[in-house]
Amino acid sequence: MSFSNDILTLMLFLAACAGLVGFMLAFSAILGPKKQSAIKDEPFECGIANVTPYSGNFSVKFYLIALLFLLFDIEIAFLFPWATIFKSLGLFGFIEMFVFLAVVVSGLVYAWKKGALEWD
Amino acid sequence: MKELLIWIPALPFIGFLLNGIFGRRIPKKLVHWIACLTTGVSFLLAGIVFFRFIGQPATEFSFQYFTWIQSGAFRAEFGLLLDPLSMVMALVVCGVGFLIHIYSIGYMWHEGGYYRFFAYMNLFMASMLMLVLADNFLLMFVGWEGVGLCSYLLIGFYFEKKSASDAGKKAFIVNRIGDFGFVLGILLIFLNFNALGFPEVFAQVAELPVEAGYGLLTAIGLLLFVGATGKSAQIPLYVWLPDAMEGPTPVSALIHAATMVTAGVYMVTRTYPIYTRAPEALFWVALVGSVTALFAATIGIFQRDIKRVLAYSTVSQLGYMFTALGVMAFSAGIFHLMTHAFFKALLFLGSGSVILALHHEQDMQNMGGLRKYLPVTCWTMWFGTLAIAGVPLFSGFFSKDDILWQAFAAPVPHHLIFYILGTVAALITAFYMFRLMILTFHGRTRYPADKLDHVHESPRTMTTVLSVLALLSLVGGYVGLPAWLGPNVFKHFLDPVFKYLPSEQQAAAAHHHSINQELMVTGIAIAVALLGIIVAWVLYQRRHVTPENESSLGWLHRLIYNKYYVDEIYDATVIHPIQRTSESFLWKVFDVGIIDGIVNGYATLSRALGIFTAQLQNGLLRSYLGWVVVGSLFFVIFILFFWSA
Amino acid sequence: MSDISFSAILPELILCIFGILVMVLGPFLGRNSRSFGGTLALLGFATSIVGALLVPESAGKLFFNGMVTTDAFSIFFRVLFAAIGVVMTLGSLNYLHRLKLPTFEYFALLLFASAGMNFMVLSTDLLLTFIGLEILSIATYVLAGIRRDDAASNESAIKYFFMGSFSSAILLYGVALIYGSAHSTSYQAILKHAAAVNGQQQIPLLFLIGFGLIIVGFCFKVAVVPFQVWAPDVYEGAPTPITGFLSVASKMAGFAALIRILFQVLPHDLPQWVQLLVVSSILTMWIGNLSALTQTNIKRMLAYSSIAHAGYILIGIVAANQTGITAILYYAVAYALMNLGAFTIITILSGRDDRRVTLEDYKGIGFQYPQLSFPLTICLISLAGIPTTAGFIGKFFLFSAAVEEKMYLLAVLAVLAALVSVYYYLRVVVYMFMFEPDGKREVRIHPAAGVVVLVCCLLIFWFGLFPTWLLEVSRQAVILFLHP
Repeated sequence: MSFSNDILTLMLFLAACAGLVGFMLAFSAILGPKKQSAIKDEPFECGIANVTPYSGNFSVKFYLIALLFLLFDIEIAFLFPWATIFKSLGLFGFIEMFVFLAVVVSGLVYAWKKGALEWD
Repeated sequence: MKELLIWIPALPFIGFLLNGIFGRRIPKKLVHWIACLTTGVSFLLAGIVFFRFIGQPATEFSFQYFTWIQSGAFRAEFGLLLDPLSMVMALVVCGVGFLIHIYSIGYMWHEGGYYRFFAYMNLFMASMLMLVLADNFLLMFVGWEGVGLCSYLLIGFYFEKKSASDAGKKAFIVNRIGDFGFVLGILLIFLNFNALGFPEVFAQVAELPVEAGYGLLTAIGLLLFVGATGKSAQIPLYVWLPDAMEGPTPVSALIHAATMVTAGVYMVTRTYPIYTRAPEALFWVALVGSVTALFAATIGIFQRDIKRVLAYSTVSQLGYMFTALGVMAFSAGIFHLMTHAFFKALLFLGSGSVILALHHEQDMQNMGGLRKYLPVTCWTMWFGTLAIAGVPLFSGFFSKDDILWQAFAAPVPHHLIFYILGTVAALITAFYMFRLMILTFHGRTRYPADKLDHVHESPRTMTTVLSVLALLSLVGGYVGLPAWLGPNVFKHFLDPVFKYLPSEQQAAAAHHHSINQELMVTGIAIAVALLGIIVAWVLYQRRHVTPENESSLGWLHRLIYNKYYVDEIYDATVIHPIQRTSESFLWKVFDVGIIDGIVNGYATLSRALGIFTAQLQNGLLRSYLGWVVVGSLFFVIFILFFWSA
Repeated sequence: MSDISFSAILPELILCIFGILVMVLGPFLGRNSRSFGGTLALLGFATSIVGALLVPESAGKLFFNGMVTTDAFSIFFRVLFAAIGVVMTLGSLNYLHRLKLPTFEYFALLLFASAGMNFMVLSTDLLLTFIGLEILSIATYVLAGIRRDDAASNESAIKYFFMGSFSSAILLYGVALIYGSAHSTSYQAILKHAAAVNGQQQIPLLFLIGFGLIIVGFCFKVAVVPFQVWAPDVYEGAPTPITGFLSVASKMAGFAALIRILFQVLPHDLPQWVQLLVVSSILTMWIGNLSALTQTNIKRMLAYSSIAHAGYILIGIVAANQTGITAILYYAVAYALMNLGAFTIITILSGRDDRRVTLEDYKGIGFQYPQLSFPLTICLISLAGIPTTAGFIGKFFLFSAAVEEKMYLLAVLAVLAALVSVYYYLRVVVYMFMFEPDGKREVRIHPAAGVVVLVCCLLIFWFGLFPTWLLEVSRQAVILFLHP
């Protein structure tokens, strides 16, 4: 019974949210003064002309850096489970992890040498 | 010997590979050096093997090299058989082949596709040697098809000429008909004896009695013989051989006279344990052989094309060989095969020399009196002519006489018919060969006088080969002397091959005939040969008959000149009805409606479906992903459905 | 820790070490020493062959917590993949040079892809199989797009990447469901579980759906209907040698893994997938061959042809008898020979911009470049399955496997489909030999590629005429699936 009560509460909450939003929008639409013009209908963005031909390219460097970060971030995440059972793994686990790190580092070396980390 | 033997077919094959792959880039001289050297060494090896072979007591070796195919219970070995029969065949093929390779240097030097020619020739040699040395039916069949392929390629060597490519196709199709029988025969053997190796099959066959009527062995024999009629140009499948003369002349000499066409003779001889136990099959062999011998000889009488005369002569001589096999005179047949290889190769190469000198003129109407211009060609060809005509002391005399005598004395029914047919054919042979020689080399010169300056003897390579072959045509027969003259070394050498003869035949063979009878047969043979020679001499030398005024003979000439209209009859009875039926019924109803509906429909439907299925591929990623979703759902639902079902 | 055995994964270690070496050395050495990368890769692949042969073969023992096997089946494929690597390296050296592509990255990715394939065939755990598949896939996504300045190559890579990720997700979902049902991802445990559920009345929904999705994932990798749609676009746009690699190596790896899962994980009395794959096999053969008929681009045509070949191979799987699985292994070798041979030749002929790959471009080259046109003819007639070639023997045994299982309809449809295929293979030959060339073109045959072509052609005939040895090796390699 408590299960269905929870659902009910949730539903009520959602309905209240939707009702509040609907109430606010509807009320302002009814009460607010309306003077329509073409300029006013355009979306407003801090005074900048809002429709311009798209020109400037996003530098691919952003993506490169982001990707590299993501990659190494995930690789490093593997260190955490290792660290928790580091002692029980013993020397073997220690060496294994260094091999793993060596592989990761060689990736870093490659990226570095390729110039992926240079902005210019 | 085992190691040496494999190189005999392998060397020409290596030559083929070398010339086939590098032929375009290497100088022409190197091309023919490779070709001739490989065949030459192969011949040398055959010689060495021969001397080692006769130097030891055993008479049969079956060498297994490796397992060729193994699939379940089926197993085929790559094995070669060395016995007197394959030894003789290998020597003839290598020897004549080597000589013709040398001859081709001169003949083909100015032709395009020089390397192609030699590559094919080497491949042919390899296949032919495979055929004669194989120790099982399957390997033999590989060689059999290989020589057929080379023959087809070489007939169509001048493939720009329509007649040449047509002739190639004709040869191919007619041979396919024969091969169909051959394959069926092999299948029948495999089904019944569960083996394909010669020793295994024959050992089992030897246990069987001689069949009284039409039984299993007769069926096998007849089917194999259908294959032989195709390859060896016997009635009714001989029609391709005369057309095959479209190929270069050395090809005609090697493939369509000396070696490949004798494959059928070899095959029948090799399978003698089957034939000797199937008298009905043997009867057909002898009948077809002797009728072909006479029939083809008569066609040869009035042909104008020098190579066509020789082609029909080849068909006729092959008929002789089959006659010999049909009366169980196997060694006589192989003996004639050998001498024929010498003199027919010689005659073809001689005619090639004439044709080359006259710039590809083949009509004897435009020849005559060439003796002065081509002295060596003339005298060597005379040797060949005397041999084939059966003039005493020449090789052909001994071999042909042997066959006629065996036919006369054979312990088989109807043998006298075969003897008479053979004797008449001998008469005609002598006639048409002398006609050919006189029309070509003697009498008045009918070649345009303004071009005569360009006529000169062929290069040294060619005339040397002609001389060697002339010598062989003369002495080649002395290994097989008739009983009244001396020992028959050849027969004695071959005899161990025929160890599986049924006991009845052995008894019959031991039966001795009187010397007088044999002398009488020989006398008749000489007499008919002389008769033919004299008639030819009177007509063509004294009365100066030329091919053009032969037509005064009227309908007879027309009939024979047109080869008894056999091609037309085939057209009318086989090809035309097939075409007619195919047009009226098969084409319009069956073909358009059903076969087209299947074949073309298959093609159009395939294409239409193809266009449809290819359009599923619209290049849009989203529709592809849609496919994957639909497919996955289908897979999962399918699995679930089948689980509950 | 006793089951950690580095000798069990020796070839993979070699491939990875060489891959890292090539990758890291690349930027240090620069563009001047292009051929060094190739040499190193060649050395890597060659060593890997040796390594694979040195792996101690044992069918029963598993390594790395039951994740790795060293049975004959895995060794067969590990040798095959390394050999394909050698062929790829030799065949694409000149291509990379001609198109000025990044050599070191190319070879490093090739080595990684091979390692991935190896893990797919040696793994006895769904997770390791999946990781192997991903190593292979990611490497090939990049390889497909390695011509960064070429729109078609980019399109190919993007499409491959999207489709591949999508299907990987499906596969992974299947793995998850199986794990949910069997509480393990190891093949042994799943086999036990499958045997257990088979006895129950209740439908093991999770297990079945999971299995369906795993099959879907692999069917995508080997491009069988209805998951073949990506293949033509990807194959057409990818650099030509990579097209060859995708159509041969990654396909064979997918099949090897699929065979292992179907025969080692599913109990033998659980044959739902047979009916499914029969349908799939027929559709694959027909859609592949029919679509190939109308193609004018040779790469695209061979893409459809490779779809059709996946259909032929499926016959061996559904027949599930000794002839069938043996024939698959035989066919894997034969198919590698003929397809890689063909693609090597197409690479040589593809011109400066890798765009001379339409039928029109092949007009008249027959007598212009006989040293290429004849080998290509050999490869094509072998693909068409004409006797004396390895392709014929392979098809013959695959089809007879179906006949042995009394699947006559399947065999007949397969033969008919193969008949259709002759048309488009021979059309290339017709274009080569029976048309006048459109003018001269400069073609350079790098000796390395020449050797590859020659060896492929010789082996096509060798295995076509003397198939016994290879059939025996294949039979030994699949014995473990037949006597469980």
